[in-house]
Amino acid sequence: MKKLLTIILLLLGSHSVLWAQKGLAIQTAFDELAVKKNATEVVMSGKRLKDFHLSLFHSLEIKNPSATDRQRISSLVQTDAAQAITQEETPAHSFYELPQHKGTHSYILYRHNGQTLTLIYIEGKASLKQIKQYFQKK
Amino acid sequence: MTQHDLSYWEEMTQRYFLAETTEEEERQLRKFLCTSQSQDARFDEIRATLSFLNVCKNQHQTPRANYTLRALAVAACLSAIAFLGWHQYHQQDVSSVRIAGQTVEADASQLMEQQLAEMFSTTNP
Repeated sequence: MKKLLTIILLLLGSHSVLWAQKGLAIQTAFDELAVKKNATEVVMSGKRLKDFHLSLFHSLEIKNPSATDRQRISSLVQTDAAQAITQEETPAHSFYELPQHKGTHSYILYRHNGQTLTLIYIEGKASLKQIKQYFQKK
Repeated sequence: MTQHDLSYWEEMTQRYFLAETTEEEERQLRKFLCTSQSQDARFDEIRATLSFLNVCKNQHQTPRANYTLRALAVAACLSAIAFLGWHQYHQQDVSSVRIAGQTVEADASQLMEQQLAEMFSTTNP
């Protein structure tokens, strides 16, 4: 009986893998800033990402962000960047690869071009190089 | 339970050992043996006999009770697995676009491709 109860509890415990960015600082950005009137949030997971070897895409795009919002997001990204295993930073963008979890890569992509701020969190088996190949305009 | 004198119960006890009692009488006898009125040496034998039979009955019933409990636990476990599998399957297929916190009808795939293309527009492959 105890074994069965343990199995049920383990199943319930393992049943929260979708929003894996929970626990990351950027989750706050998604929670707090996605409701702003100039914000667009996109969430995708499942079969439609299979072709790209991804399992989760979560983005937040803010048009003409205020200085406060920009600093807030930048600060949250920097918090998570502290645990990045690889990073690519330029004045235009920042890409961070977080430590793998059970063979799954996760990335934080951040870009601010003056008018639009974009924060993306991606999970999947694909490497950053592969993701770039899939989506970079030829 | 109707009050009877001890001779009534003594007589029923004797009939019990002769297998002449009905089920209802045996039930009453069991009830009587739990009362203070029955604390008499004349009823020690019937008390011991019924207690022994009760123990035997419980021993035979225990495996069945365990089996039922196990079956229920397995059914609960399987139901939980089925529910979680179903939930996980449906939860994993998410595609949504929200503007200002409000869900809107829009092509999430197209937005994703557009955002990633812009993201990588200034990078080397």
